[in-house]
Amino acid sequence: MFERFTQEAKAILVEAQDLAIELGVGYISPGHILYGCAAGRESTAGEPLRAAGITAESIRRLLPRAENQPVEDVDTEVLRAIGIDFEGVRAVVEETFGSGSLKSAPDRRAAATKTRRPPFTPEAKQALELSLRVALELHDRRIRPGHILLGLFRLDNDFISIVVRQNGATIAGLSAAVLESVDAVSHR
Amino acid sequence: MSSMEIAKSAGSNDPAIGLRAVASLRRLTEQLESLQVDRARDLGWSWAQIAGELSVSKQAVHQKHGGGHVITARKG
Repeated sequence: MFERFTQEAKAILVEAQDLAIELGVGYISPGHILYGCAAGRESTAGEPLRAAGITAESIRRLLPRAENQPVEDVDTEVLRAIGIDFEGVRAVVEETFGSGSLKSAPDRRAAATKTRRPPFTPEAKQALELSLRVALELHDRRIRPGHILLGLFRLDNDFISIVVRQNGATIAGLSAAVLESVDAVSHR
Repeated sequence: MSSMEIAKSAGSNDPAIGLRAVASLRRLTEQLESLQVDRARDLGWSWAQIAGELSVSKQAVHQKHGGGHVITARKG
């Protein structure tokens, strides 16, 4: 599916994926792809977005983060109630691992269940299909970052609209800017 | 009422204490696992060896401890 994507376009999807993993959500949504577009330094998506004041950081702040189960500290008193001497365990551990090692040791249960490659949501897939269509309409055999961005704009997705409007821009205005920059790149 | 007092007054026959103890024990187990796995890796153990001792699959232990997570500051 991704043969037509330029390296820069693929980099956007990698950014989107990394953010989805970082936020702990098990999917890649149009919002994550928009973040990827804004994170790139290239001219067809990253620059028009930044020119409109839409930065990767501002998008990240709007995206939901998985509720991390609050990891409570070990309750030594209840352990004692079932016959476990926490202080004894701690002392033995610190002999090998050093003072304070048990307290600062990570609990990696979340890492164990985290999917390495979160799937695209149906809407995100649709956006990628639309990006192919946009590229074809523009007689470009490659899918460039700008095409991905235009694909996102065609989705009629609430998150995308909110991000664009929040920054005082419009989909129509941004689309025009993106088309111009895509045109400059693909007919170079 | 502190958990100490609860533990003293209710004893281990209270489900609330027992359940909380299980949660704490799980947390403690996870921390011990991270320490032991990291040290085994530092000592040159393979993921397969570590997985064998933990009685879990190599894939499971590698995914959980093999990186991507925030590496805790542990020098020397």
